[in-house]
Amino acid sequence: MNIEIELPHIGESVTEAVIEKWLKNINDDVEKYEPLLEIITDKVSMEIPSPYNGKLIETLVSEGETVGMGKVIAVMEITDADYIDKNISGSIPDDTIIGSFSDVANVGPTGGEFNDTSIILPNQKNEDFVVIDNKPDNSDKYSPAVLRLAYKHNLDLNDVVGTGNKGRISKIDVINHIQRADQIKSSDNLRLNISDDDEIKEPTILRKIIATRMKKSYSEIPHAWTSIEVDMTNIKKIINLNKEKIFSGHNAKLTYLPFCANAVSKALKEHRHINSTWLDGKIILRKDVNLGIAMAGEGGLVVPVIKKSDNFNVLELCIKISDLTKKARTSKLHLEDLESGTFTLNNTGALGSVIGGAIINYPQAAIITTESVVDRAVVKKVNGKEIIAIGSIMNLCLSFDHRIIDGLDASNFVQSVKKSLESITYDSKII
Amino acid sequence: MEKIRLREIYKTALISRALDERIWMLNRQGRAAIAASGQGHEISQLGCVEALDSSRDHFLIYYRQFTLMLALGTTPEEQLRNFLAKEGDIMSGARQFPLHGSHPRVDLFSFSNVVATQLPQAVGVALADKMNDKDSVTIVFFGDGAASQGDCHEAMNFASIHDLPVIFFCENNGYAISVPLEKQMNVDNISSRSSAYNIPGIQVDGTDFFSIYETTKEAVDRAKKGLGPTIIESKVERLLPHTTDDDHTKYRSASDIEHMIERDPIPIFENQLIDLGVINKKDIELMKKEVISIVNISTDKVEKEAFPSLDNMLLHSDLN
Repeated sequence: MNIEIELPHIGESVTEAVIEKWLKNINDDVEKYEPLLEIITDKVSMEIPSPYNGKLIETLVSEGETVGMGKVIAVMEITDADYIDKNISGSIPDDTIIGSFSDVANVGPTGGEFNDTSIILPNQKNEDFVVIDNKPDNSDKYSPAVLRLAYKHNLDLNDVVGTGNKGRISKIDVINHIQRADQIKSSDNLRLNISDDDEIKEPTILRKIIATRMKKSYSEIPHAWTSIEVDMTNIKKIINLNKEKIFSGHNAKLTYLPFCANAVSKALKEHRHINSTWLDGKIILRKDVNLGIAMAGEGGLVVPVIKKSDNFNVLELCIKISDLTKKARTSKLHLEDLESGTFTLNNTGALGSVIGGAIINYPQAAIITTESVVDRAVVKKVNGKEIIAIGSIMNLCLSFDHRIIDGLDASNFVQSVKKSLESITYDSKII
Repeated sequence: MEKIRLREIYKTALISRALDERIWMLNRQGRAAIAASGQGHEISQLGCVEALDSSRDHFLIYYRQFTLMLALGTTPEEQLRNFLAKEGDIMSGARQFPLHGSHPRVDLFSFSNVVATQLPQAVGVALADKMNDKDSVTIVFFGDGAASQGDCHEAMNFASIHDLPVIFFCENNGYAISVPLEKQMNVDNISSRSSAYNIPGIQVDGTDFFSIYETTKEAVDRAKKGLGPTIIESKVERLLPHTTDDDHTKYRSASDIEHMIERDPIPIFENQLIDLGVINKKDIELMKKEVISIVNISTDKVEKEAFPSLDNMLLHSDLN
């Protein structure tokens, strides 16, 4: 027989998950308890074991999709003997079960937000048991937090839509209601412009995290921006001369990035205001230079960090960056690889970009982008004479927190990076 | 210790591990609501129980003591019924958190979800035994997190004043949910607090069955001679996150996790038994096969059982 496989209800206060990866292909034989797929919830990433022995016939959701718990995600073919009827139980009709795992009250050892969604019990002993129907029951059942918020914002709670069990109104519902009311004016026109042909998509959890952080950075930090040209001609030659040797010797790809990371790290040590954070009206100048390098990971943007990056030479940085890139692509980065960054370098040149205004990686003070290296006709002075030559030119762009850094400081910093990169000659002992 | 007994203990460790892994998977299938795994604590619990007499002594346990419950005589089926909340669950009639409730057949006291409440309760049990001239010893288990609760001090202080026959057995795995030991207390060893109560405090490697057994045995002898309580601190590892709802990679470093896996007590015990000539590789292979089939048969059976019916929902409750 064919049986539908649901995304199981797992854990406290978890209602949805992102399908990370199917670990079995269509028509694969699957043993009971063998890992079937990987999912990510906002609490944990986990493998879901197969509930049956059988064969995977069809997958109904693709990788990267967000799915509500309890939704059908696949079809398996199993033998009748293996079938377990979920509904075997005394005689509990569905509509009188106390919530479900997704909205059941959280009072376990891990704590969590307490939503009192329990069924209403008779107040006195020996009363007949009251069966509750599924209609919203809001009568006098507001929590103190909800009442306080409603009073503060002068709200009529009858206007608020409850999403808790039996339509109970939670604190989150009230906050959402207030925010919606604020947004409604600005987004009314936008809403009207959505046609039936447009697709409305639920963002993944990673997308939501990125969205929140970008919004926080862009709305809190007054961004200013500057850009400068750097002549990378010498470095280009050094790369061409050494890349094969380094690849065979260290299994690492020599690019412009380690040169830039090295120059930026050294300049940050000199220009301490750039390596800082605005915190509660104070400026925190960081002692260590921990350079974050923005990368495209498997599921989206990640920023692994090279701690004390000013202690490493170009070759060492090259090896470290190669290593982190491999880890990012295979989702093998550990928490400690992503922690304690003090400044971020984004190598947008790898994507072909020639200019970019990056958003600062909150709560840092600035972010630098290294753009594409482009061959251009440039005017150079040779033996006192001006000539036109072919130069490999790269734009450096810096977005900075104008609360901490003025245009002059920013320019001095990028000039310092530029000087450092341009002072490299063929005989420099870089590698 | 007799070889045949050591083989039995080893088998209990294997059953416990396989069952624990299975329950974790049943959670991932959405069938078990929550589980706090005892993986990493197994050998400590088995060594300790072996030094006690379950027909005479009292055990007050906490939620990470799955192995101990098996060693005291609960069956894999009973454990599964409890985690899957099936009708006929002995612990709480499927009304409580897994492993909460009492188990009369093996004389297990009901315990609360509130951390550390079992400690003063155990002291009360020991006091009752002393007043009634009973020969029993009471052992109470707790984690490092519970050691930071006020209840712990009250219990130890009272027990030492009255020389009560109680053993305070701390399974220190270094983490109170996500809080590491150094953020919980300013001493390295919980056992060092014993000097404040003027009682012995012993710290022991929780992966070494024989050390745990010897240490517990000495504490039992002391208690029986009327010399009062002992604090035993067993250093163990928590191999999995706090519960199925936790992700320890968010607060433990990769090197910490790697180091911890090296201290998995089951392979350590296995090697000790091989060195002693108790088991060989072939025995291990056969036993592991047998254990998997025990766990499979138990799971299949319990999965097919019914959930409690609505008709007796209020049974065992104050509302009935």
